[in-house]
Amino acid sequence: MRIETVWVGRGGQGIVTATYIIANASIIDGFHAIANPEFGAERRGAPVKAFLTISKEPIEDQEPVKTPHVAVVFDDKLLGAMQFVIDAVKPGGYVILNTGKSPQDAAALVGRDDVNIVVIDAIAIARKHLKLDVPNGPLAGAFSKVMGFPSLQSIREAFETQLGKAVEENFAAVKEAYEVAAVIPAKKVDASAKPKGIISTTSAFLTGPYEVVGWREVNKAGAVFPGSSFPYATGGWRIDKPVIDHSKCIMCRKCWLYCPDDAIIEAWVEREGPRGRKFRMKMIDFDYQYCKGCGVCAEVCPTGAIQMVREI
Amino acid sequence: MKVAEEYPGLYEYANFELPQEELFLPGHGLCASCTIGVIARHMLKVLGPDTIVVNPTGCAEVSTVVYPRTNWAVPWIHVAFGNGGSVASGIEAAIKVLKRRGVIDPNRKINIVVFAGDGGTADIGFQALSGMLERGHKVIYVMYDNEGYMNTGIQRSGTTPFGASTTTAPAGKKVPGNVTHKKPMVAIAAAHGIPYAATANPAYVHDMVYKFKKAAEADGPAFLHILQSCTPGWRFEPKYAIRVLELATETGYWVNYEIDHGEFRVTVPVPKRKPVKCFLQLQGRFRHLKPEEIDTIQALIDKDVAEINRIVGREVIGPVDPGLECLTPRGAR
Repeated sequence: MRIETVWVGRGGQGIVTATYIIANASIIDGFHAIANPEFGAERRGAPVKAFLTISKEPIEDQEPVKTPHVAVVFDDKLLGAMQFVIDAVKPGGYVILNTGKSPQDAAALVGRDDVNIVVIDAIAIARKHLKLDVPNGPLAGAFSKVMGFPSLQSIREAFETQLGKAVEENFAAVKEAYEVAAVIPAKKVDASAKPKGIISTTSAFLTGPYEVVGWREVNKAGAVFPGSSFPYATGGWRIDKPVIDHSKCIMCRKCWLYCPDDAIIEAWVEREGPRGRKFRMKMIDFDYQYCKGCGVCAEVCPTGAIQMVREI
Repeated sequence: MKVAEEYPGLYEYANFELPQEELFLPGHGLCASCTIGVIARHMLKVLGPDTIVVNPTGCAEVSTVVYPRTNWAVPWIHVAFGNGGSVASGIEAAIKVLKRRGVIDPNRKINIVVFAGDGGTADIGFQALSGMLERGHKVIYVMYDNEGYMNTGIQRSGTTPFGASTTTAPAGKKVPGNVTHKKPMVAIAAAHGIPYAATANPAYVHDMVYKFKKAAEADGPAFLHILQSCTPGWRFEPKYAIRVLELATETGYWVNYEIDHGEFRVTVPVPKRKPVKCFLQLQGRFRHLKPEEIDTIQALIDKDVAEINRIVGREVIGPVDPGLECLTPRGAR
């Protein structure tokens, strides 16, 4: 028996820690396990991939996983950009998805009927138990439920050795996830079929509609021209999105001043005034294409006009 | 007119218009709530499109210029970790020659900025910076100080404060994290006899913007030391990025001052200080500190503040008032 898994998520969500915990817990249960994270510069919110292989026999290769049995997706907005991970899951395998949507909607989002889909609202569970946006513990619990290993007791021991703190809270989150994870079984499984694609190792960080700008001019000292960052939409990094209540906004523009992503824009809008007169006035709005949902604008707002609303 | 009386020079800079257009474009890969974005945006708003940015390796470099795209709408050059100052010196000298030969209009004002992190300035790039300041090249050196090598995994640097836990100075039973205190970079830079050196804080944007303008108008090298909050390294919730910087100034941990032609001036006076505990308790890297270690940090800061008050000649940074609330509530109006 050899189970290959791929975990995809965003920096800061604890992907690497989750694979270490599952690997440790599996080893406690008597398996052999190897966890290889793959990421570039450490940035909070950037896509991260981690590979985890668990086997009864000793594992001698350290290669990245090409066609996993299980794909764990930490963020449902990654489904568009990282569809290749879903495509690469073997027929009859599992896709474990963290989303706030209903199981049916989530299954439609995954778009495959020959894999078992596991839906869990890990962020809500993590916020309830840990007051943090780290969905790794609940997803580890969901993994344990659908695969049948590692046991919850081993996960608890792995928490003690890996985290060393907040063990009780993390374990409570794992336990709740173990109980509430919803499994949608595969409709038809053709065991002899091959997966639609494989995970290539180079395209891990290329997300969004990607257009390579300036590659023809590489021989001119590698110059790249301004504006080439626009296609790189960072809006998918959000968990919460800011929403403004215009009746409370006093147009102090503090949010604009402190936004690190240029995601706050001033837009002209037409409003009907008294006696039917049309006024054009300036209003604050958000550029959701680039907003990373950090919440600085809501925190600096002097009137509390900006609220953060859960998005995924 | 209090500002004009107390701080001659500030008032004339206090009111100028920031252009609406962005020269630091969106779509960068900085962490959510990273204040490098705030610093770079306002820096380029003040300096304008005639700016050449020299960017040694660091957080800003690895996340804003992943190859086929760039976020800088100005000429930008990547240099190695250690030679930001040298490359900027070369660019400045080349522009001087081109102006003399008439290739570039001699009246055209071109700003050269080094946008370096604390590792590329205080540790590895120190000799290049010192040489640049010594030779007197007209370059603006901006050091964004996130108090560690944050993009390679939160290692300790020369500007990491006392008591901070990093991966190379971890907190344990015997040692409370880092055992040295911040390197006084502005004092070192000013000791070279440069015309303008200052500290700034992105939470006080108006003050920071005015310092960028002064640095651009200085008749020689200018050095700016800007505190920058780092979500993964300092371990606070992303939404507190500006709050924690505000607290840095309000507790006296960070004093916004400038040394303009040898004239020392505190630009953000704090009449009553909050205890430094307010600044520390928001961050995970100080979570392990015992009360006596917090007292040590408080003593370090009291010493710095006393020194600043002595230089100014009166009490600009006031005494600690334990009665003040740490996080003054906002948005409750």
